[in-house]
Amino acid sequence: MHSVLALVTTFVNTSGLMIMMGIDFLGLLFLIVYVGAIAILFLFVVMMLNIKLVEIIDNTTRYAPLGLIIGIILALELNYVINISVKGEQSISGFNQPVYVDFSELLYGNKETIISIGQVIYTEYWLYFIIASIILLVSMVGAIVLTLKHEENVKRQDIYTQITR
Amino acid sequence: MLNINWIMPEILLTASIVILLGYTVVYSKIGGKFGQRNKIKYINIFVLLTLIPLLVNMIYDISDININIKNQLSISVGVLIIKLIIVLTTLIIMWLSKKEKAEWYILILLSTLGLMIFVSSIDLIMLYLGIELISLSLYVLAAIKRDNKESTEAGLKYFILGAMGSGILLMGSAIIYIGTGKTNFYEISLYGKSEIIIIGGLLIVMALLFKLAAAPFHMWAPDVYDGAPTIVTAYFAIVPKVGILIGLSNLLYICLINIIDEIQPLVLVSGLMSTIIGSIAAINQTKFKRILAYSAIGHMGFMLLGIGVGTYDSFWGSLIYIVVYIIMSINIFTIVLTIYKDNEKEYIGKMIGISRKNVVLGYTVGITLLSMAGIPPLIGFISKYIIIVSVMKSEHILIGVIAILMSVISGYYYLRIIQYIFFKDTQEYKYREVYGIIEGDNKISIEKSIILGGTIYLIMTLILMPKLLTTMTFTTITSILI
Repeated sequence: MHSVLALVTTFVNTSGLMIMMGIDFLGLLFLIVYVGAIAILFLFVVMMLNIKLVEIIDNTTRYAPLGLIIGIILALELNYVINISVKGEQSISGFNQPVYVDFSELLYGNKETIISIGQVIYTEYWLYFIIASIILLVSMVGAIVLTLKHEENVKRQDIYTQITR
Repeated sequence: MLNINWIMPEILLTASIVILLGYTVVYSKIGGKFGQRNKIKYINIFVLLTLIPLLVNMIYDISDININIKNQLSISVGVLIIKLIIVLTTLIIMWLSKKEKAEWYILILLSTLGLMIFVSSIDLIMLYLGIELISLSLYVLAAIKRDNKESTEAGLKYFILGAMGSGILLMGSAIIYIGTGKTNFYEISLYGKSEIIIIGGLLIVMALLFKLAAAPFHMWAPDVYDGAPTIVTAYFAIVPKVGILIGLSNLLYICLINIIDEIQPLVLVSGLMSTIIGSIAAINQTKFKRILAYSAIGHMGFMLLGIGVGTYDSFWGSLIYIVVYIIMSINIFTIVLTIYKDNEKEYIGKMIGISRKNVVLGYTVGITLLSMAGIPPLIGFISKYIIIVSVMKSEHILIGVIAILMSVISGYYYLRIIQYIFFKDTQEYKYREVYGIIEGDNKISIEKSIILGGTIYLIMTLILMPKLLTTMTFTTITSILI
């Protein structure tokens, strides 16, 4: 429960950072989607499941040292590598500094995030947009396939009688 | 320059999926003549059939070596041939299915669409979207028998582990983006040898190996293969592996070509471990589908060895292996579908005495299993031979020797099934339901016999005239690698 609340604060912090960086639309979207929907869903699940804390602690602490060691090694590696490659201490073949996609070229003079995202997503990246929509379609079909049950004793909405009564 | 003609198969498939979804929603309410499940099956097969002439036409039409669509998809002859293989295999598996739910066919079509996007993607975001489209449909397919305990377990297990794999892939992509600021394969390959690309590339390759069920990441495969319905297992074991393997080689030899020396050990070790686990872990299994899962891991190891060595010959051998693996797997899964009933546990004890009850079926199983073990006059021999020779030629002698030894060990469990079929007495063993095979309702249906006949013909005679196979794979490899 507390960790889910901590997750909520993390999301709020992230969206605050995004708004301060000037990408206000994405920040608000983060707030709406993650805090408003996903974290609340997690909270409901945690509340409803009634998990006994003792069992979880017993089971997980066994593997904690191993995980800690591997995690620290990975974090150190990533830190080292990102320091080398991004800050440019080694120069390799002249391509050292990363050149990110310059979105201002794609924006046709618009400064607001929502307009520029709309313009980019429907022109330059329309393939991604369509495929993402198909993925959403898959998840919808999957949810219906796995959960919908036609039981016989359930009262159903009969539209015809409803509108003619 | 957008050349929309070259993604016509994908567009056609998407449109048909949407139309079919509407159609099935309407007709499942109304029922009646067009709502019957048999009709829905053949409508879906017809959708795939329309793709085949389109793809063949495109293969003959294509003039450029490589066609770029917005730097996100690339189309070449090789990619089109791979797409054709994917569509044909999906078609056969769909034809094998009994009258399933309408959503089953839709999900298979969606996953095929994902594979077709995945094999032609040359962009990290497109790679992720493709693999997500594939795996999301597969998660649902694994759990599609929601009243069955094992099927649900398989779906949940696959979903959780697969989501972790996708997370690793995204992390690798993010790290590469931090270092380079690019997502396109060709643009990343310009950046030369840098640590950040090495780490990101390792993570991405690891995630793809996870999706392939190669050895250190194989733990989900036997449970999922065992729990899912057999026809879904057949789809799992055959179709996505082709696409993901080609996607992996695209990634390795376009995007990560400058750091291939660092990535190569990962792929080679993974392939070697796959051959070891695929041969040793299957010895003690009693369920036929689990044995097939481990056998798939072993075959995947050989293909990865071919891709990991990275010479022209080994790559070619790896592609031949894919085609051969498809042919043998279709045959063996058709046999599983024939012998075992729907809600039955697939113990190999049921194979006892098949040779005496149905001689042709018995010899078919025997020949296919021998071919999977790699016995010379059969097709499984060529592929293993080419892989091992090319591995040896590129001076990985130890890997080649271990691969041969593991091939010998894996011969044991194939031969054990053959012993069950031909030499065990039906009376002395506790499973006597063998008699159900040819009596009464469980006759081999006509599509199964056609598929069995076709594949066994290919298995036995392709070694006499391998010209079609070798030419096709050679063209594919030439156009993919250039």
